[in-house]
This record gives sequence, structure tokens and C-alpha cells, in this order.
Amino acid sequence: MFTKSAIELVKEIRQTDSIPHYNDTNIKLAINEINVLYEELLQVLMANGNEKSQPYYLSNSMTYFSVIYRDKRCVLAYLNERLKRIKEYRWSSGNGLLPDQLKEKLSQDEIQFFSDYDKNLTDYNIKVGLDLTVDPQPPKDLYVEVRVIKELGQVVLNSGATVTLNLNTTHFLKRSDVSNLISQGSLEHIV
Amino acid sequence: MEENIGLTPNQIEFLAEDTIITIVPNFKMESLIFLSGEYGPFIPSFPVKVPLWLAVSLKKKKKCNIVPPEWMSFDYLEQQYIQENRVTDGFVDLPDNFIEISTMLLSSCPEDINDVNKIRSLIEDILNRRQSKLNNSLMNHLQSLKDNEPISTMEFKNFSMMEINRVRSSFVSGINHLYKIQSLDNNDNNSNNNNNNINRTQSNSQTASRSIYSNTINFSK
Amino acid sequence: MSYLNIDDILAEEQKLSCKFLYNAYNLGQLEEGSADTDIEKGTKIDLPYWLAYVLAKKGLVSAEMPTPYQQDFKDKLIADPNVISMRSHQYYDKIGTMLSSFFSDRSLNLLLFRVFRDRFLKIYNQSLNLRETDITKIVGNMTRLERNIFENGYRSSIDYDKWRNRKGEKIERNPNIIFPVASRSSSVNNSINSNNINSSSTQSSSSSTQSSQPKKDTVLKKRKRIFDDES
Repeated sequence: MFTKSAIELVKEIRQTDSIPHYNDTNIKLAINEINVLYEELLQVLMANGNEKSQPYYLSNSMTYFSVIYRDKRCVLAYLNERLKRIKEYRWSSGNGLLPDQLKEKLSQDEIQFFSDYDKNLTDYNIKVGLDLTVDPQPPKDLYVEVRVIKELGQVVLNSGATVTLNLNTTHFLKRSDVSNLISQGSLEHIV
Repeated sequence: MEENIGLTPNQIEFLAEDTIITIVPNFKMESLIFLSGEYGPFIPSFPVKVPLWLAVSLKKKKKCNIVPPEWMSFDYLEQQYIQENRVTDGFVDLPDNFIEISTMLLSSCPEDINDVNKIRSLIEDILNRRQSKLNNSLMNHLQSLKDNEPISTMEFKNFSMMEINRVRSSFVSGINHLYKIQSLDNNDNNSNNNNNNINRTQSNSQTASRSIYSNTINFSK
Repeated sequence: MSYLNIDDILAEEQKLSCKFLYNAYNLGQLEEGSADTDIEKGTKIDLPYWLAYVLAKKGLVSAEMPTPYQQDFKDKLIADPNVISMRSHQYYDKIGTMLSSFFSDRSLNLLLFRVFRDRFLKIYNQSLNLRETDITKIVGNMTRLERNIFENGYRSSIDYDKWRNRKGEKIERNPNIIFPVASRSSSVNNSINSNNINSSSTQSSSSSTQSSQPKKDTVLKKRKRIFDDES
């Protein structure tokens, strides 16, 4: 059936809010379908000079043409949505590292995109002198109290301070140093 | 499809934190010079005006008492509540940043507020009353929408940012869809000459009136 | 309709029963289980809206209104718009408006207006007032569009309550982040990330300990960044 693999891509990305495995197989199938139909379309048009606008051939060429465009649209929408989520990951994790679980879901090009995007954002942040991913909400205090809920051991913080974060200990630390660790679930903010 | 979610309550609170408020410090310090102005000097027992964020921060460190704004008194709020109940067709004008300031003060310096418990529940009553009034008028507006009449604008006076923000994203996206259904219908009637039905004769006056209306809701303060 | 919008694409998958008005060259594979290469005049096949639209505009097929937009279902819907579950009609409203203009069916348009208005009334109300309730079932009976509206209202309402109860200051864990735990002992310094503007990135390990996958279709998506550059 026409566009089957392409529409599967779109359904797949709609199923979840996270980033699903890059579906190389279906993308190749969709592109293959585009190429095959394109060849056939050309042949039909060339072989039937005077007849090609007759309903018998027109039904065929209109259908092939629409399927080709539909395939293309689905693949682009799929890739576009993935890039959007990859960018979102960079912002919400506040970090330029791809964890392995995520990395194995991305295509080579997407990994490249992530590191390029990260580089751009980081360069920008350095030039502005401010990490824009920190504190999307206005912070209340410069310092916050946190409890360690995942053993971290000795950690060098952003500001240069070294601190030992053992399980279940509480600390009073600079907000900008720990906010990412909190959103990652290593520390808990005590209010 | 992506709807603009607007501001978060924390961001609105941030904006309200620039409000100037009086504190009575218990410490001595020279004036603070900020971009927004000069505050101080701070002399024990001498009232001084500072931005709300500074007041709250000093209060947290037990460096001052906050003098609540005049409107945070039982008499004033009781009047407001009575008014709010009396006016059924609209809302009573509240002081700027009423919700933000009262919420912050009630949590950061309850001991500086007279009749604090009475005030707390009065404010709660006022807000609930307004919320249910708003809901009712939005619902009535929706119910009164007719498929053959242009969607009219709604106006809300004396409504605060915080209150609007809470309902905006869902309400506006719903109204937008209704508007979309309707404008599609309208286009079909105007572009389709074969469909020479009764609407055709009215179409001039209807398009004229439609252009005045828009799918936006005007909330104004 | 926006070109890259996932929901728009899926809405256009709505099947319409179409009758071919002419013989059609080499389209046999449109017909499931058919071995013929050509399609014969008069053959009825279910085609997706995007294809039916193109062929019908050229007068090559005649299309029928899909069942959920025919009188039976419409009667049920208008009798009490709020009772019907839209679980199997996720794009009823979206594709409905397209169909009504495709078939120039004014009555469908009026129906969509009234049904959506009534359902929206309820959804709007629920989004503001439902708390501590399991909303998955309620949300499951909505169309995609209704669900977006519900989620928007629900989220801003929860944010407001949190703020009023002074819980808004708390930095929350973001369940969407799967992340290698930072620790000094096994520091892997990624070359593309050797600056230390990102806290914790300087000493992240690749040996991640924790893999909480984001829940499938979580009702409350993570808050959209206000500075999101996407429209």
C-alpha cells in the first residue's frame, strides 16, 4: 500500500513525547517508494504523449504524484519533529552531553546536529556571559537547601567549589550550581 | 497547534516584585544604589521605601518589618467583597498586583499584618467570587454563541494579569477553533456562486460586521 | 493546515469511500487483495482524504462522506455531544471542517460548531476544576484538539494553585531528562563540552545509572519553554 512506511513514521512520533528510535528502515522504504514511483510516473508521461491527460492515465499520474508528495511530507515532518525534541532536550537538560540511552536512538546526522546545536548555544551563552538554560523561572534565592538522593561523591561545581555529595546529606548551595542536578533527579530541593 | 501558554504565575509575581513598599528596618546601613533607583539609608525604626523583592528578602533574614499597603486592612477588603458581590455584571477594580502582593505578604510576614486570619480568608473569598464570576461569564458567552452569528468580542474590565493568565490558554484556543469553523463556512458561502441561498443577500452586511469582530478576547484592566 | 504538523498529517488519513469514474492505469495496488494491474471503472475503494481530494477535484473519482459524518452518527452526537467518546475519532473536529468544505456541506459545519461548543464548555470547566482525579480516562475520550485545550487549561490551573500555596519556588525534577550522574571518579570530558558554563557537564560520566524513560503520552507535558523558538 502506498505511503504505508511513511505514515508509520508519523504515527510513531505521535505515540510518545520523548524521542523514539530513529527509524532508518521506514525512511529508506519511503525514499525508495518515492524513487520508484517517480521513475514510473516519468515513463507513463513520456510513453503516452497525447493520451496522458486522458482519465485512464491521469488517474495514475495524479495518484503517483500525490503519493510522492505525501511520502516526502511525512518524512520531513518526522525528521523535523525529532530535531525539535532534540533541541528541547538540550534546553531542558542544560547540558551538552548525550546520555547513551538517548544517543543510540539518534541517527549519525542527528548526533552531529545535537553537538553543533550545543556548540552554538554554548558559544552564545559564553559571549552573553549567562547560561540561558538555567532558571527559566525567576529564582527566589541565590542559595538553596538540597538533599542528596543519589550518591554523587565528590563533585566540582560550576562556580569552582568542590563539595562531597553523599547520599541523604543536606547542603546549602548556590542555586545556579545545583539546579541542573535537581532537575536530573540527583538532588532534591528542600523548601 | 502549539499554543502560547503565556506567563507562569512565578513570572507574573516577578513583575509584581518591583512594587514599592514601606519597611521598618532594624539595622543601620547606607543607601543601596540600584539601576532602578536609590533605596535607603537604613536606620533602625525609620520607615523606608524599597522594592517588594528587597523587602521580602530582608524580612526573611529578620532584618525588618514590612508595613502592609493600606488596602490590606479588614475594612477595605470587606468593602471590596461586598462590592464584588453587589456587581453582578463585571468586576470591581482592585489595587494593582492585588493577588501577587497579598499572597507574598501573607506568606512572608503574617505577623506584620493586623487581623491576618480574617484578611486571609477575606482575600480568599474575594478571589473565589471573582473566579466564579469570570467562569460564569465565559460560560454564558460560550452558550450564547450562535453558529450563524459572528463570534463577538468579550470585554473584561478590572481584571488582573494573574486571573487572565489562568484561563487564557484554554479559552482562547477553544474560541479560535470555533472561529475557524465559522469562517470556513463563511468563505464557502461567499465564494460559491451556485449556492445562492438566503445568506447571499445578507452577505454584504455580514462581512462588513464580521470584519469589526475578531476572534480575540479583549481583557483589559 | 500546516505542512509539518503531525496532527494535520494524521487527520488527513481519514478514509473516504471513492468510486472510480474511469478505468485507471496501473493503480491495482490501491485495492487490497486485488491482482489486477488496472482499476476498472465503477470500482469502490477507500482512499485517504489527501488522495480522494486530489482525484475528486479532477473529476476522476466520486467520494462519499465517511460514516462518522453521516446522519446516524451525527444524530447521536447532537443528541448529547458530551456523552460520545471520541476515542476512535481522534481528529473528528479537525478533518470535519475540511470535509464540510470539501463536500460544501453547510449542515455538517453547523453541527461541528454546536458539538464543539458544547464539548468545549465541559472541557474548559473540567480543566479548571478537576484535581486529584485520574484524568486519563476523561482525556482518552477527547479528540486531539480537545485534549490540547484541556491540557493547556489544566496546566495553567495547576501552576496557579501551586503558586498560591507557595510551592512554585521549588525546583522540580524533570522526568524527561535521562542523564548520566555526575561524579568525579569517572570523569569523561567531552571535547565539545569542555567549557564549564554548564554545571555538571564538566564531570559527567558516561556510565549512567538511571534510565527513567519518559512516560508514554504523559498527560502533562513538560512546560514549554517560554523562549521556545518554534512556532
